[in-house]
Amino acid sequence: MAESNASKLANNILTDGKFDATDVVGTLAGFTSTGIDDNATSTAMTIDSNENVGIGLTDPTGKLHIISGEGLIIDKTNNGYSGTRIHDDGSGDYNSYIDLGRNQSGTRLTIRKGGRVQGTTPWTNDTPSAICSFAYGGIAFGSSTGTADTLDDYEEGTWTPVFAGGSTSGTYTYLEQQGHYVKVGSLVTAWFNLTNITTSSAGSGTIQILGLPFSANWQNGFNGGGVSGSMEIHDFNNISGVHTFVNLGDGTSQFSINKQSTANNGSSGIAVTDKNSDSSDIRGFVTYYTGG
Amino acid sequence: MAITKETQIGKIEVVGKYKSVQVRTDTVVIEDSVELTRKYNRHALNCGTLDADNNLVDTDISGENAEVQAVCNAVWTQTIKDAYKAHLISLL
Repeated sequence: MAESNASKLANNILTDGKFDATDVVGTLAGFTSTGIDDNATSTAMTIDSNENVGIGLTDPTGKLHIISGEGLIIDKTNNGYSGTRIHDDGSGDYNSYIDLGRNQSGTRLTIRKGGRVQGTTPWTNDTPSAICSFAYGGIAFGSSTGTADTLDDYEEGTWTPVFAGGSTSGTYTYLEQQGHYVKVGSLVTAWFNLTNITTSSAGSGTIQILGLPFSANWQNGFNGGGVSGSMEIHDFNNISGVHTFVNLGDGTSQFSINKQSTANNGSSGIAVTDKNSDSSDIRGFVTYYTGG
Repeated sequence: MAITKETQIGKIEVVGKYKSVQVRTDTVVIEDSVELTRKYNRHALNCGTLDADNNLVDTDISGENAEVQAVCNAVWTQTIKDAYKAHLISLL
């Protein structure tokens, strides 16, 4: 009759007076210990000779290697409503995800300093001080939940600058008619390039560049807005030796081109009729606030 | 394999006290129902401009998308136009 595992174990311990790993070979059916049981019907966790731990696989390639359709879940309440989940979709482009909390306005990932007071129990939530947080809809800098320190938008694209007169628009064609922009939060920088501005029907008044991608918002009560950006003007009359600048009014989506006169600190608009020929060019950029 | 390019009105935003209408037009390239690229082009519309006599000339929106026209017509009330005209004159 074959010797049972229990009998073999008892004899081996009696022989040398100690328990060795080789005393038992095979599966311990019905094994229980506080906090551990053998409910799994296949290998759930492996610790290999390289001291790598595998969960869901027997050949881990890192200190902790997990294979799971659900990924790694940390859920304090175990209700599936919140917590953190790290996983990949396991197919196609093999996208990887870190899911934080659930989809609602108050959910945020906070990176903080001072997670505990020195000398206190580790990891108690004591006096946290946020460095920044990734809230639903933006990145908040500091601990405030207000909007003044929240970066909530980034966008880049193109726009179509149009050369026109301020009193009468006129119509013009171009060799190049290019514009692009970058918007970071409420700050917009828009570049423009108009070359060989050719008159189809002449406008009148101060030069206007129309078509900005966003309207300006210079903030209530701030009267210094408007002068913004820099440019190069080529082949225009009556601008020699003077400083040229753009003026972008609050609430508008266009800007005028002006010049600082050399006498009495005066300034005036450059007339659209100062365009010297159909080889005239204007290129540059404006930077401004936008928003509600 | 079918590759198509289409333009979509990506966003229509109404901002500021003068109800500027900001329009984002998206150019989308699609292959077999999978979006390959999306590029943005933007323009912003105000309700009008001043002429040489400081009259407010309504912005011509006849070439805009129907949804954009509907938004402009809804938000550019006479009150808004009057306020914007006064604002533009104040900038002169």
